[in-house]
Amino acid sequence: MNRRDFLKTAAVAGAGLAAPRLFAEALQAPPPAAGATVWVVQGKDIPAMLAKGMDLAGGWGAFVKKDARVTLKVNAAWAVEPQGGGNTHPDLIKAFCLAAFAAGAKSVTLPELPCAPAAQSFSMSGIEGALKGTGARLYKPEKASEFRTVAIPKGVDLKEASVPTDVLDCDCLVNMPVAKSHSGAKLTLSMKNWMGSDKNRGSWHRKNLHQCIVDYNTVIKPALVIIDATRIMLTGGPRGPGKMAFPEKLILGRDTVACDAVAAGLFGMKPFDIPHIRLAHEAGIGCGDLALIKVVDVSV
Amino acid sequence: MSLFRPPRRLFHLASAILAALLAMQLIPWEPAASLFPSLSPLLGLSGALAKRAFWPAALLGVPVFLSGFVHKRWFCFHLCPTGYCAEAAGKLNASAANRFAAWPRLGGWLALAILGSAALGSPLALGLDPLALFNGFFSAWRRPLEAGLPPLATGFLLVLLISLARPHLWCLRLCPLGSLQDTLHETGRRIRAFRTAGEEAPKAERRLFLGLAAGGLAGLFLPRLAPRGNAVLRPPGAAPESQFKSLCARCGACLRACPYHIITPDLGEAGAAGLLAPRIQYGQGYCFEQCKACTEACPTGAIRHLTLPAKRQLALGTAVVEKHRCLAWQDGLYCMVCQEFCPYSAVSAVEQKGVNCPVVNADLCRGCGACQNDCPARPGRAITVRPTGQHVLPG
Repeated sequence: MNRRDFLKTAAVAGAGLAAPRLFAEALQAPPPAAGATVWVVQGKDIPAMLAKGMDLAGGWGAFVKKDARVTLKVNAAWAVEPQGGGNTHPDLIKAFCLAAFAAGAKSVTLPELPCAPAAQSFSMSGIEGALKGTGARLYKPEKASEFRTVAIPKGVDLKEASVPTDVLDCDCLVNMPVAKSHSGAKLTLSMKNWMGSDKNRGSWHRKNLHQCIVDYNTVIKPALVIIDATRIMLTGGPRGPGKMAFPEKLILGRDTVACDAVAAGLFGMKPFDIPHIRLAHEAGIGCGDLALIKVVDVSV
Repeated sequence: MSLFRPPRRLFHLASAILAALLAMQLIPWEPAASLFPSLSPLLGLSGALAKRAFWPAALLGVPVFLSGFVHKRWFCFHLCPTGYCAEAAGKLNASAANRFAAWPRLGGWLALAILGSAALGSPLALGLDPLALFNGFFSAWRRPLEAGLPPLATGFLLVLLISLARPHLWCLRLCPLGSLQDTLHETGRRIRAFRTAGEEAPKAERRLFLGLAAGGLAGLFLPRLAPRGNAVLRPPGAAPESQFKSLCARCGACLRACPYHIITPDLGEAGAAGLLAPRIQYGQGYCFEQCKACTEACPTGAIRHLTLPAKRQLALGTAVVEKHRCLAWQDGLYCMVCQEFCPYSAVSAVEQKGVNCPVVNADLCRGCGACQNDCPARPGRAITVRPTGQHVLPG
């Protein structure tokens, strides 16, 4: 980019910004690290919590347009029951799918590459049952035609990934992980959840797990992150059983790094103690610095 | 004497089709796989005899056994699917019919040997039972087809070839189940004759005892002569290794029942006596903690029925970490996939230079292979299940 192009871009960007002071700040730091907003909704009624969180995040209309193809990346990796905290809570997934259809979605698709056998993971997690009758489709992509290889130009260790086409070809991509401890990655939050969307995820461990998590997140960018922290596995993750805690929270945001940084606090950890949060912050994927994140706490 | 005189052929065809459907396990009820083979007294009853145990399906052989006294080869002509196929093959070569008359009745000796050796605990040649052969053929065509599977189908194909070259030879001279029925019918005839006409009292033939005794001794000693192989992992609930090899009829029901395709026929790893007996090999999947399908399928009791809690308390072997291959131990990488995938929390972490490294707790390890299956180390997994013998874990 030469100086003239830069000035042009800056002028266009500047026109869109109301406050000149903000404009000056935006020039100093790359946009994602400039801060982020994370909404934390506490309560016991999961559908009501989701509804409140979506209101705060800008309303369903901001994410799901009429006839949109919505793809939801949940965590349905393990053949364990909902209370174990190994998978995203089925009630949350159901509430999301119903509301997405109500908001005008044409389809809600949930591609997932589970760790345990798919049939049992989907049924024991309660997710298959919760989705019955909603019209949403949970499935394990298996055929070659259900994947596309995606180049990761900014990837340090991960140069390409084999991603389900539904993750790539959708109008609205939402990441809905469950927060839990993880034996290899320390915690698994939103960024790590994408491992269930790479057919060759085994190779991540051979390269450098934390860097590969970050690399994947440079190309796959969800419109919204909703972290299930209704119950969290403090130890024994990702499969469990482990020691449980019950924060009864949903963490929503557009910035995946910021959401993970806030969620790390539920485990008594500092964001940058998790290598992939630190690396993602440094790579400018989002803001992992709690001092720069605006956390909006509400209860329902 | 036939019970179903006019539609005999049709009835026989229908049971052959049903047997094939059951053998292919297209009927979604796990115990169905063992129903048809259990009809053979040589499989169910002699299995129960050898194991000194009892299970309901083994009783299916009782009516077949008893029918042998009354109706000559009723089972062969109405229910036996191998009999149906052998008969059909023989019809293709009608000119060669009855060219076997000079053959000795090997099947009779075989049946006696099977029963005698079963009574002593290690049945001999169960794999020659016609229902085991039939099941083996249909079990072998599992998708994706693996190199080890077709040998399981060869026994049945051989029967068809024999029947084509020498019609009726298999059924009338070689088949142990057919000849057993001949023996039973002969005995029944004598009993009836004794009762009605006061003929000479039926005395047990010397031949019978000789056969039983010789078979029993052969069952005890023959397997010991076979070259020894290495220890292998067996399906959950497998009988002790020495008995397993002889008790298994090579019907393939367990490997067909396994949804994760980890059971394959052994091609000699465990020695000649264990040829084609099922073994577990991890690579495509692991022994899923919510599954006990193979334990439902076995007609001979070589694999005993297990409840899910019992299966989950059983170790098939024990996982061992090979540190020199391990991404965490050797290369200092964040991995712990073995701990992540372990359904029994048997892998724990110790820290080495700030990175978690795996250690197996042998008291918790079930040898299910989840760790081995997903270990990302290449080439060669850094955690593998060793065949340390099946054992029930404490607690």
